[in-house]
Amino acid sequence: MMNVQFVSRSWLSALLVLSSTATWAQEYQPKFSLVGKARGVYFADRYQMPDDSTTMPRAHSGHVMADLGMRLVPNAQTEVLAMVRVRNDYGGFWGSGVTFDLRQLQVKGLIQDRIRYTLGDVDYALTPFTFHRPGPLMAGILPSTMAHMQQTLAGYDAFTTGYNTWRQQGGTVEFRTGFKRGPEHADQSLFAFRQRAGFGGQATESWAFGGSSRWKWNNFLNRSASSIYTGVNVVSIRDIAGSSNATDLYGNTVITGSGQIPLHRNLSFSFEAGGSQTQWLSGDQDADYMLHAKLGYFKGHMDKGISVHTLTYTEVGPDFYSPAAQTTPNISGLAPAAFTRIGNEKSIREWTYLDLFRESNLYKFRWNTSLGSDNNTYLIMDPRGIATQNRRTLEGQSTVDVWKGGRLVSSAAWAQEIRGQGTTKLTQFSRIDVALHQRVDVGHGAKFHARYRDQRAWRINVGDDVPDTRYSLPWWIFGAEFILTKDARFTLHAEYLQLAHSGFAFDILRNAENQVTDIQGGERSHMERIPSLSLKYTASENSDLTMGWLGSFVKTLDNQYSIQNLYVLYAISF
Amino acid sequence: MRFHSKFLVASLGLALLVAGCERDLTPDGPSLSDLYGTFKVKTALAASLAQVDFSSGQSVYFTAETSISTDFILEIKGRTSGAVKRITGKSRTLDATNALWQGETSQFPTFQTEICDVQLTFPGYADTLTAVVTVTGKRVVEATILDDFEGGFNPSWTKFIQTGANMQFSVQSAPPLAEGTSYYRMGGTVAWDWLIGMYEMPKANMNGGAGFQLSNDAEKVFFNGVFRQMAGLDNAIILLQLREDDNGDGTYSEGSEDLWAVEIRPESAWELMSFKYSDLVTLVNGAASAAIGNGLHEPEKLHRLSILFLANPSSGYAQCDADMLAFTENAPLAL
Repeated sequence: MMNVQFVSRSWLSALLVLSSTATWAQEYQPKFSLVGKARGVYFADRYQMPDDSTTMPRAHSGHVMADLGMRLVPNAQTEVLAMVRVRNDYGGFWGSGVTFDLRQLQVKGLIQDRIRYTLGDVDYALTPFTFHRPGPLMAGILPSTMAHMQQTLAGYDAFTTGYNTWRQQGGTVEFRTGFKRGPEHADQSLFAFRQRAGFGGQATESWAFGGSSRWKWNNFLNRSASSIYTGVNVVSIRDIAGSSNATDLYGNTVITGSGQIPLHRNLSFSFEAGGSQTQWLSGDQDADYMLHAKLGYFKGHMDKGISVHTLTYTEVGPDFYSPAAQTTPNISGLAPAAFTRIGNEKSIREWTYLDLFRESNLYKFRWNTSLGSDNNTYLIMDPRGIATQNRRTLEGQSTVDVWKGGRLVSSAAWAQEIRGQGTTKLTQFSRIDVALHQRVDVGHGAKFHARYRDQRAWRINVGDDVPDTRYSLPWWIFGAEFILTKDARFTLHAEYLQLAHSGFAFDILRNAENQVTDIQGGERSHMERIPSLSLKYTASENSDLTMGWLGSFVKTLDNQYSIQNLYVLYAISF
Repeated sequence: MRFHSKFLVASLGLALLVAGCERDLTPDGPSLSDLYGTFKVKTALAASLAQVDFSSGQSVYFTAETSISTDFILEIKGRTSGAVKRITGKSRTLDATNALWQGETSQFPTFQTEICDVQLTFPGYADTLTAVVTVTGKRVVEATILDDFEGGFNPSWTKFIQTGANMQFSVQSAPPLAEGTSYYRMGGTVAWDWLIGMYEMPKANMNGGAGFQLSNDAEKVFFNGVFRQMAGLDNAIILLQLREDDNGDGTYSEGSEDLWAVEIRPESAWELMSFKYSDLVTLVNGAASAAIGNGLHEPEKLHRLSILFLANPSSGYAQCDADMLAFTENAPLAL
């Protein structure tokens, strides 16, 4: 592996050049400005369950909130951001419902106009196998107003971004290295984030270190194609020896190499490959590797219609552990805040997708160093995203503009365990996804989309008395958007989400060192229908007001109930 | 061309590296066939020794095998003492790793030299397997025993007993027993004070004046005792106090040296209780508070141990029994 020092001393006579951030420094910056986000939301919920005579059927909730980011630029090389959250729950009396919180504190700047540093609260991501927060369960496929609600409420509060970043505390350093020969330049990014405070020896201090080096090359394979990128990515999470009396320390290191190689003007190859090593508190060690290769073909023009086809092979070993990339997005065992106990037996309600729109406490704010147990309510093929361990996956995707205003997006994936769970027979998985997006020139315009996603898992003939795994998760998604005015400020949205799972599946239970301790099988049945009707006023690019009705009709093996709500949601970014 | 070669070499190197990695493909977790097969007893219950002498360091383990991994309860019951040892687990086979008996007790009293009936059951299944083992020598307790009351009340204790009604402070031997054949009873009604009686073991009275001779590692030292209180009452409190001679002057200075304590509220059935020395706190009127002395748990500096028998003065008669008061190192006492 090359590093910058080696390069600078020997064959390249490297030099540090001005990074693109130098331009940032020279732009006009006001000394003080306010940035942030504000929102106001009100929900009027109505709960219904046959024969339930004890649960209060109505619940109202709402708040107005402002994240006020005070951005101070004391000089051209330094910026300080302190974002304070002020929130007032409706119904608070003379300020008693007001809460203040610190949302983000950050200092960033430039050293010698060449090295950019950031200290404090940082949103950071690397590659999908090293440092990559999984998106919300249905990221990218939720209907638009549902996605807007999820991102504006729970997602925003849980620090999810569209870039799969984890909110971390620590520091980053970024700089660019230029070369006279060979690569055009290399972008370096280094980080150090504190994971656990030691509190004077009461706990073992834990940090995550690492970074990436991304090299841009002239395309020596095909001069007419765009540049080649190669990179090295490192994430190391470590308990710090000597920070407490503990002598048994956890450590995990993931190193991958990645690259993007345009083979032709229309053909591109990308890959990531690497390994992980984990040291557990017991002294046991695990090590494994992963491979990911993708071939992509692109044809057409954005204005005239495109056709994109990709073929991907991914193999992630059963002992490949990358905590910053394999943590599930939600906490499966937590009870939702809305209608926590239902039915005459007052049983705890399991959260459903409706709760994920509104409740940020159902999201994981930080990664887990162990896998925990699998929850296959919504995902079974890749519950931990693309980096899900113990999978060998082949996937083909196709996006085609089939006719005017119409785009067909389809994919088919097959996956298999690499190591069996309780048996040498391997569980097989499949996922088929077909989506049609259509623009229609009626009135001021309208957009429709429909999607069917089918996920399955199966394993048969394990033994005479062992039940077969036969599990399916069929999802239907429909959406329609009608533009009501010429300036497109008023839009009407009708959406429908149907999420189901049924069949026999096994839950894998693991201990803190990812060893499988038990395997529990059972019949599952779950159906969740979420219709939505809303009117949206888009005041500007950064502010909108949505008023609507949203329902959640749930049927499980134990319960059948519905939660319907009327809501008003206003959001603005500034 | 130069870069073509480098690229090729790098790709080949990576491919060779990956091809050279071998994975352990032994299935994870318990076998599904074990978990979901039909239950059958494959090998009957057997003891590794027909007669076991725990006093000479012997132990006995039991073997059995079923067709699937399932929960099991192995219960050993003394025919004479009525003592019970219970071992539970989940497995397809019983062996020395999960069915070992070293003479200890789960349910008091302790085992005597006697014949014991052994019974193996599987929750959810009707099968019951039986065996017999004879104890020819009792388990030797590895501990610094303050008193087990087998030879009467240890005269090394200094005691203070209030004047009250129906005061009972004596060695008893009526069943149900805990360890051995004797235990100590404390009881009485003191209407004007919480304190009913108090026993102290000063360092000077231990080991011929050599002291308690405990380890200096508070993480490794445990105080143990078997306690119960009279059925139908819940007012008895045993306050255990350990005073340290922090400055090594041979005396305990009230208010300036550490006093560690724990409050015990026994149940009506005999129960072995163990307290790690490092977990003890300073108590003021029953509430944890700041340490009085240097704040360090130093078992090697233990100056005296006090056992206070307390009850709310308005609660009436209180009665509590104690047995096998002992310090152990490295692990709680096992009886």
